[in-house]
Parts: sequence; C-alpha cells; structure tokens
Amino acid sequence: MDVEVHEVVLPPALVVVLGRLIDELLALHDEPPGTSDPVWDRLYPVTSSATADDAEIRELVHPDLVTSRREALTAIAGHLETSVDSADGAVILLDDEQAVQFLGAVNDVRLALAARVQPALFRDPDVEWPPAAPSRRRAAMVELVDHLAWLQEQVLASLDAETHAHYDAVDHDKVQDSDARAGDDHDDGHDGEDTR
Amino acid sequence: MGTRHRVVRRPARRPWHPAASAPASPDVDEDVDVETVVDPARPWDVIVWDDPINLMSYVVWVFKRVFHFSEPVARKLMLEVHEQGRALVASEPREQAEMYLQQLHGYGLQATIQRAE
Repeated sequence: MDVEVHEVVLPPALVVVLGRLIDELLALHDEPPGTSDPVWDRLYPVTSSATADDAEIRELVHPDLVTSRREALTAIAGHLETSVDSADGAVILLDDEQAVQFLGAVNDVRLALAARVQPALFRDPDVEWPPAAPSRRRAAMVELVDHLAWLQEQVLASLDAETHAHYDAVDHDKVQDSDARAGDDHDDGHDGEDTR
Repeated sequence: MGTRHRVVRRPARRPWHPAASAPASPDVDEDVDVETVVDPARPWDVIVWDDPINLMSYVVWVFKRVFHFSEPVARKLMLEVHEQGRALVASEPREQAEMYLQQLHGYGLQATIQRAE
C-alpha cells in the first residue's frame, strides 16, 4: 500500500518561530495553570452548557486530550528540528498521520496566539478579531495568526483536495450568500459556487 | 506544496458563548406537583460553536473526519455554525457524544454537549 507523503516547505524563519511557539505550548502543558489562563481555557474549553455537567464531563474528556495534545506537539517540534534546508526553504516530509498532527498543532498555535492577543476573545462576543489598533507587538502576533492560516490551507490542500478545491475556487462570502439562498436541501453534492 | 499566500479570515460576529448559553428557565405552574424524571435513554446533543479563528475549510475538514459527513453536509453545517453562531452536529447516547466532544476539542473546535430537550 502506498504511503502518502506530504511535503511542507516553510521559510526558515517560520520554522524557528513555530518551534518557539510550540515549545511555549509544551511548557504550558508541563505546568498547567492553576488559575484561569486564556490559552489553556481555549485549548480545553467548556464541555457543557449545563454548569453542573461541565466539571464532570471535563474530568472524563480532558485528561486524555492533554496527553495526546502534548504528544502531538512534541512530535511536531521534532519534525521542525529535523527539517531539511533546500533552495525553496525548510522542507518537512510527513505521512498522513503526521500531517494531521501538524495541522492540529498549527491550529493550536493560532488559537493560543489569538487568546494571548485578546484574552477575552473566546468568552466575550463583543471582543472583535482582529483587534482595532493593536500595539506593534500584538499586530505582529495577529499577522502571524494570518500567516499560519496560509500554512494550514497548504496542509489542508495536501490532505483533502476536495474541500480545498472548493475554497480555492470561490469567494467565501459569495458561497455563504448562495448557500443561504439554497436553504436546507443543499445536499445534492453541488458545491454552490454558481450564482443563483 | 505551493507558495501561494492565501489567508482566510472569518468575521468576529458571534451571538453568544457556550458558557452563557444555558436555556432560560421555562415557566412553571407552582400549583402543580411536578416530578422530574430524566430518561437515561434520552440522547445528548453535540453542538459546535462559532469562533473567529478556526478556518472555514478546516472546520469542514474536521466535520468530515470526525463524523464522516459528505462534503456538502459538512459544509452546510459549517455555514450554520458561521451564520447562526452554533450548529447541532450530532445527537447520540452520552458516551458517544463525549467521544465526539473529545475529538472536536482535540481539533481545537469549541463544542459542548447537553442532554437533548
């Protein structure tokens, strides 16, 4: 059986930055915050709208999740360290499972950055993203969240051509508009990029 | 992989947060003696909430991977999350609902479960 190989090519500087951010997430997992922390709260969010159920379900669901997330972040940190320089940039070769881990790790980093920039972002609907008039440091973090979105798209394109082909071809706002008009019966396999 | 730089942003509109979403208390006629009986067979709803960071394409991919939805169904539910602020993506026995919840949190989505009404 052929093994799919996903080649990720990154600017060397991004390898360094991503590695540092993943190390920070690993450090957070080494010593989980005793009090509320926006990053931790976002990675391990509320489990139930019913407060009485939340604590019980959290105890059931989150410990394994902490372990598996730490393992995935550790694995990706290793891949970043062993990336190979080429004329196009730093190259990382991943199999399917590793690519999925990579995609999740990049997503975790984006969520963590956003939670650091706007600590109330995920609990207060009035907090906007991106923030208006951020400080220089925060603006750089916002830019990195966007840049890592590009990286996520590249990995998604390699993992799932079907989904990515759709998002590659059309403007999202137009898709939403056309789908909103299509109503609930839009399950015929037609992706809705035509104009109705 | 290519070097094309394409960034997808999602608007920050989010009607409410899952932690603040407990349904309002129903009107109760206090003259009537009501015994609350929880049906253990009642399913649990799995709800996914909108957030401004997760990419639309990523959410579609997660839905396909976790629930094995077809592309159109996954995309329809993603858009429901995006436009309505949340979407009911599954209704299952509690143990299965917890497994889905764990996977969704593992992929970084905001999801909650609650006993179906």
